[in-house]
Amino acid sequence: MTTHSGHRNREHAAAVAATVMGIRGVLSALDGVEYAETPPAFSFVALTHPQNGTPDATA
Amino acid sequence: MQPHELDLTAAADAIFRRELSPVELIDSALDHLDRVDPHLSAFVTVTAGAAREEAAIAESDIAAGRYRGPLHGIPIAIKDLFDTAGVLTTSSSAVRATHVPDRDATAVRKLQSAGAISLGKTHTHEFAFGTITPQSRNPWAVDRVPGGSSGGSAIAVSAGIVGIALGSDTGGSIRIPSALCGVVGLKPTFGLVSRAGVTPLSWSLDHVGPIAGTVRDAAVALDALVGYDDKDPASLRHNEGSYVPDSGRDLTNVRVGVPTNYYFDNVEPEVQARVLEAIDVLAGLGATLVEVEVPLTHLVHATQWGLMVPEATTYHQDSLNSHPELYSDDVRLLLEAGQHLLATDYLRAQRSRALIREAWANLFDDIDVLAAPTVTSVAARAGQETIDWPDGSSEGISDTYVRLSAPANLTGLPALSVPVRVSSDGLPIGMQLIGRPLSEATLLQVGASYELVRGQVRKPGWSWLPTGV
Repeated sequence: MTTHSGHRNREHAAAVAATVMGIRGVLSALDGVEYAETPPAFSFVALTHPQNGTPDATA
Repeated sequence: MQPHELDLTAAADAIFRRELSPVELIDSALDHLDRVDPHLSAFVTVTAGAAREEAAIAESDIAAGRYRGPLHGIPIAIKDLFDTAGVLTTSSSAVRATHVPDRDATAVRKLQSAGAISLGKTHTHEFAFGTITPQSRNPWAVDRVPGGSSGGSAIAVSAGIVGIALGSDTGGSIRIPSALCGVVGLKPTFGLVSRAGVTPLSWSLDHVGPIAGTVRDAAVALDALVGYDDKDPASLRHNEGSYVPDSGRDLTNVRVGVPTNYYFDNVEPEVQARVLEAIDVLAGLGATLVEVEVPLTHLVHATQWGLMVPEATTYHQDSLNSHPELYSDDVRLLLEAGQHLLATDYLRAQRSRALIREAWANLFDDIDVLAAPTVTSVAARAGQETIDWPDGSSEGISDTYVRLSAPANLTGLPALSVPVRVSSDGLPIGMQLIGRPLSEATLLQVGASYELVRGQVRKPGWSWLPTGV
């Protein structure tokens, strides 16, 4: 017997799975990009560093 | 004219000359808020009592010669993402329904130190994770959304309740509602304005900035907001004096880039036409127009999502696991989906961002400012989920709203949205000016020069108010 909450949980899990698929579809644009030696720009401080294209205003 | 109808500069002048008391101004603004906000839902929390007390103090301080400057006695509104000491700060979420911080966000403290008086906290799309602000309505047409996520702040300025409002911008959340509500929005260079005390959406994309009625008013607010803050690891030590533009209109030495790709692709015809007219105005002021191809645009959407979703999910992980039912459906889905992304997805997005930043830096070798639409369309009707384009494609409202604003978040570049002429339906349209890092003064000067020629932008009508105003 299927409970109402069980049904709702399966619907929710399906919605999450669909959202993951959607995001993965968007992220596929990053496949095959020529990164060469490009390091990640993930430091929140380094975003303002000259090597990332922004003047080092802390100097 | 009622006191609340004055823009910030006019109200500040009147206060400075003692022709207007802060008490009169705050009372007028609160009365107006009471009349219009039940139809707009800009505010989560109104702090009328505290505002009146602060106005009385401001009045006596100014009378005693302790005038603090152009924000002294001016009403402001604060996005509910910003911590405010002793005042409920919900992020428009049931998750934070009872959250009362014990200190102010740095940006709040700076505006209040300059003498500004908060009328209260404004609605955001829940935790700033969306661009609709579905609980609120656009003052230009109450069947339409204000955009977001700083929707309540843009409404509060557009409806003439406050002179300045604080917003945050992760993919366009200051500029989008500013464009859709017909006001000015500034996303400063990453690190120029502290984010300390502002609930994060995405640490590497979040920015804080002002929403204002005019470019000059936004500059006045920026003057008060900038400054190094050791509580924000991205904070810059940078001081170039006042950002308030001069009254000159000459743009002879300014090269304005006009994109030949991306920024005018799948844009509503009226948005395109009005923004191109505005760019022609810049040329009429002496600016040199330079056609440019915007680089790596095919990576923007993926890079934005690849950064924002994992960072947001990480921030919310504990409360998402303990109280998932408290999140609204759209936000919960995105956060739960984020738990299934890989570390390599995130790092690839960061590598892609490095490429984008380098390419955009080169773009500014040939131009000083890039001019483009802020948003692809005018404000959508409430409940509208997609927009159909002539090429047969259909795009989600949130995706189309951030499409033209996200590049400035990925690159950290400053970006200003300025209202241009309204559409034939009477809905606002925004022009976005993007500049080199820390070129806010140039953006504000170009925006102010355009504003002088454009003249006073129309205000929203009040036909939806049962008794008028």
